[in-house]
Amino acid sequence: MGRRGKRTIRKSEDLPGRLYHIIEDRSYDKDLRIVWDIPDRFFNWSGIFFLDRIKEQETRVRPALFISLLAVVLATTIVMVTGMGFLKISPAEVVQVLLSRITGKALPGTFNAVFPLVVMDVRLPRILTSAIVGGGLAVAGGVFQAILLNPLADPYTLGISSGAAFGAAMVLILTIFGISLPVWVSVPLFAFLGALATLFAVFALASPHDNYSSNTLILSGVIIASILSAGIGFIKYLADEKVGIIIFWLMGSFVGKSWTDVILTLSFTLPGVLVILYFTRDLNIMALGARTAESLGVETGKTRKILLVWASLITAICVSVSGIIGFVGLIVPHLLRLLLGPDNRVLIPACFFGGAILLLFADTITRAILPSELPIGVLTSLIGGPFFCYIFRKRQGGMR
Amino acid sequence: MMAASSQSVYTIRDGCFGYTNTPVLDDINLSISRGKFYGLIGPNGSGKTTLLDMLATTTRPDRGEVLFKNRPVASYRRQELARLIALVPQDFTLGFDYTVFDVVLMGRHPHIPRFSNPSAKDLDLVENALTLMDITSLRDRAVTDLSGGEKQRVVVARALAQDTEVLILDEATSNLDIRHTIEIMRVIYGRVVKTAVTVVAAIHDLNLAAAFCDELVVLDKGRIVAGGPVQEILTNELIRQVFSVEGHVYLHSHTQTPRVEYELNKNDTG
Repeated sequence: MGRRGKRTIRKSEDLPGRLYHIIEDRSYDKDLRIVWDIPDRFFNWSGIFFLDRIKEQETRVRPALFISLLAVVLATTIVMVTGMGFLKISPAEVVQVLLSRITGKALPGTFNAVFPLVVMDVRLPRILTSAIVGGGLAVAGGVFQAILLNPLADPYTLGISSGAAFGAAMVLILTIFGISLPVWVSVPLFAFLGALATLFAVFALASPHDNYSSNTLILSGVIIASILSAGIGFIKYLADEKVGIIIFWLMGSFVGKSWTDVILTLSFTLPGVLVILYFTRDLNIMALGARTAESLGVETGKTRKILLVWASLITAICVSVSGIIGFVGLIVPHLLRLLLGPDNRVLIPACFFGGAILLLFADTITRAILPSELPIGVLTSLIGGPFFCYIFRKRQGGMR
Repeated sequence: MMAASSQSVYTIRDGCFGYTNTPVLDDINLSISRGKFYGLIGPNGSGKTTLLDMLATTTRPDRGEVLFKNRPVASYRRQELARLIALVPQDFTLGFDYTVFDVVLMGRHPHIPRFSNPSAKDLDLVENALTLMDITSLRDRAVTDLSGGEKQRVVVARALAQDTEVLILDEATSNLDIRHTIEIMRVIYGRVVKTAVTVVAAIHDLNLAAAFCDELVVLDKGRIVAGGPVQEILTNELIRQVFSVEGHVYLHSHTQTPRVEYELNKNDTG
């Protein structure tokens, strides 16, 4: 019975001229909450950043507080986990190393000479890559959910992961036919090309006549993905005993990521996230359906296409760099929507930080906590799956 | 009864539209004047929604042209049109659990610059629309939790908040109880009379159309078969020809508007 509570709403006299309300919500036995109700939350950018002007609703928390909290947690986590691993480095020392790199000042002579090397060349690139990939996948997932009007969509709904996997598998088949390429160059490249080709195929199959409607897109994605899966299966069959390499790649990993990977991932994720943030209000309006959005001045077809292409590019680069990592792009936007509400202007930035933190945690578990490296895709699905079941069940019970 | 101004809002010349060869609309010639309430009537599948989409400019005709205020629709920017024309679609989507207030505020989208806050005027218009549609008490409820009729009123409120010169309504009262149906029609009629808003509404209930509209446009099989003042259009012959039922049209003694009574003989198997 979540939302149906007894409420008394009255206008606040002490803030004349603006439409502030005080809501006394007695719908929960636990506590009586008095919250500030700001009617313009929806359009209020400044409201996101000024805590006192934000509406608080039942399970919803303050967006500004939440986003800044996530940003702080991400920064702290990066510092903390950099110190974790075979060689223990304290957070203070990590900060010292980072500061010396940024300011250019030399570290004190007593400082362990191996630490800067471990932090800067070994751990930080991997940590940053996993954070950017996590953030990118979660943002892409949020966009796919909003555009397809389906809270269970994820970055792989359009078959982009299958395309990347097919591309990566192609490298293997090429080596079998005697065309050998250095794996660390060709796998990401072919995976990215495979993902792009899939995107083109899905768009070509989904007719632009109906402004790329959700059903057409999802169906096109399913069709292309199933063709590609058959292709991957065939390549695995041809690969015979070498199949282990491709399976390992499919399950995802951040082992041995370098600064090149960081820059590569960021070069698509950063502009992608910025473009998506620019269109977040249009994304909100599109929840009213294509025709209504059009009548409200949103160029639905064009906006959908731009957002889908950027979300797909982010997904493609993430998958190419790290393999197929499931659940981050599904769970993070889904959970954050429950917490923050559906406003994409709040949700999308929150997704970026949330996804980054989640994948960073998962990667740290396999890198520094487990006795041996586990493919991260397996880990996220093993932990994320049951957790998602729990949330899904609980939500159903609470809703009606 | 109607505003004296006869400025042209829409002119459609030889408008045709079809999904892969089957014409949905054929040879449409229509002129809509400012400050009038137009009722669009016709049986299911006669092309009402497509014609309304054409007026709302969400659909462009395959052939022919649509002029809005004597300028081709294509010469307007999308956002410009959104400030002038509002649409209440028949099958509306309310995708995520936005609050009622949020959805009604979305009607102000074309008026609020990107990254700006709504002005006092925007908020006033939203409050006003909430009050008119009798949904002020639902303001913080999630739209996904509402009943069909409540959702319908939210969608109409959103269009009212858009504050446009033209209002296109596709069966806007089809999900509503009789009280809210009449209330909504009165509110919309009030806009026509007071602020010279032009309304084109597809209405199934002929009595409702006759009571509130100035003029009727009759669609049948994708063609306009009649158009003009309600009293001239609504006749026994038209009801027989277009709707294939026997009806009796008379002038209501009190309101002096036409009423229709249908032959409802449950034993007549034809």
